Amino acid sequence: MYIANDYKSSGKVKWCPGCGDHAVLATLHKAMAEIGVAPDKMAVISGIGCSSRLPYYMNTYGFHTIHGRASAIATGVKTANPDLTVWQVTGDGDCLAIGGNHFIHALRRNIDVNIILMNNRIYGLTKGQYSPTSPKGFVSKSSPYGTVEEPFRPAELAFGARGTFFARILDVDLKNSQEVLVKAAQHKGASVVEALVNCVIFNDGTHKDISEKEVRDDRCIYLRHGEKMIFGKNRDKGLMMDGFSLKVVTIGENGITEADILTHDAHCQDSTLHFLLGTMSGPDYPVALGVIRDVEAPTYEMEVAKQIEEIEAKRPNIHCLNDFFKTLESWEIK
Amino acid sequence: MTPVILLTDAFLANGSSAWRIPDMNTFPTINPPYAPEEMRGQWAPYLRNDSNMVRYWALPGREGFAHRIGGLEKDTKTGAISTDPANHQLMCELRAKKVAAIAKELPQLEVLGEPEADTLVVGWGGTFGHLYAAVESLNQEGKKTALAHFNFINPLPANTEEVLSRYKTIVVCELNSGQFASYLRAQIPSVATRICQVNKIEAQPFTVKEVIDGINNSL
Repeated sequence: MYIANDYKSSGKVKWCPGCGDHAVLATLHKAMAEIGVAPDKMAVISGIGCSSRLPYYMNTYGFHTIHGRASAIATGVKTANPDLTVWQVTGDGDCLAIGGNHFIHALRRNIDVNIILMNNRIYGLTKGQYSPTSPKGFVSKSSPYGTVEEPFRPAELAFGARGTFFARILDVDLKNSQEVLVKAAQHKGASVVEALVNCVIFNDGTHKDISEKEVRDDRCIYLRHGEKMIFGKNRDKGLMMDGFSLKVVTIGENGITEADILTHDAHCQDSTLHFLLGTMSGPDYPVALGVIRDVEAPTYEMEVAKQIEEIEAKRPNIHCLNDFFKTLESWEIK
Repeated sequence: MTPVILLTDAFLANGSSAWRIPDMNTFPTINPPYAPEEMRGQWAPYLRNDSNMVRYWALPGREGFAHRIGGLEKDTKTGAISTDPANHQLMCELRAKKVAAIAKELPQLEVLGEPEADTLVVGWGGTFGHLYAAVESLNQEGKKTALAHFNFINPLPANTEEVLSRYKTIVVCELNSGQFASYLRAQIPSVATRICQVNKIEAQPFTVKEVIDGINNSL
């Protein structure tokens, strides 16, 4: 049995007061205690950025690595030692700009790493440049007249890369966040948890349209596998299919009953509906929180281990490099 | 625990040569400096072995040795992030000392050709074949010439100054505008005025004739 404090290091937390990363850190400590893996059987790997300082605040094995390269190093750690539980902590810049390629290939390979992507839609550590998730038109120090480009939607990118697990949490929603982080850890394969976090200094209120308590229930839908897609303060709104799109309906209006509302199937191999759910945004749609996709697939590290075993069985006489050299074509010059 | 930068070039990479398959059993064993059990409880990731300045390893998964490492400057003793200026200076000095200490493990610099010559040709990397052929040819003509080919650049082999100081003229031949010559002048100022250069920057290997002409012009 572990408690949250067992996962907490004595390192002084250096994020700004009010930063959303504090909430994710506290939730992660609690989630790890719930998962119950010993701190020294866990490795937390990060890249560079505000969020990537997180490993210093863990009492686990940790490595604050190179900008954008956390996925590559986490892949190596997990492949070399599949018994470790490996977490990757990254931000929208580190993960989707500098580390974009490492990220998509980690998902495609389905390496069993739990990726927490802290999305504050800005480069905070470098003091406020627009990031790959900043909305179009966003005014920042590096886009004084507004950006002219479309942002990435992490869910879309994850599904495009054939990701097997995608979930979304809100920094202010601690209870649901813990449940999602536990599910991400339980998933065998690459799991992405997009944490919508506030940057109180350089992008304050970036998620306030959905995160403020008075509006959250109406503007977010919390998805749980097997449950109806119902939301709203009065639990009277729901999602239905409309051709190839989703539509928001009100239960009790136009003859619509709860039975007409879609039931969430996170385990469905086909990602079409997950894609629609993951890319919903206001004002016409609620933003989906919770586990959107969670499907089983072979994991990279297990496939590597399996292949090594198979090849070793086929070539029982090769135990070392010397043995391998002997199998090659060679001759001696005298 | 020391990053190694291997310099190579297309000439070496595309070259071919017959070589005897090495017997791996004759290679020295690699023994990573794992944190000894007796350090349990007192161990921290930035503690160093006093003799070679190398830090100890604790592999992830080892009970009781969980720790964090990363690119931010760390306290010399505790391994916690440190922004103390004096600690940063100390860490820079420790790292430089660690790299310098590698020289103790490196093979000595050897001299080929006519070791008693007054002229030493110096090279490094993929130019060895051309330089050696040029030195042999000069010796056959009766112009006594020696060759020192460097396989290690930082740190330099421990006997570098002793070898270079034996020669009146040192001709550094390299396929660039003279970085190694400048480096040697800075590292071994006692021979700086004896160093001349033969350079080529055509993205092609030297020819033996070019090297011979270059050496002759330097004398």
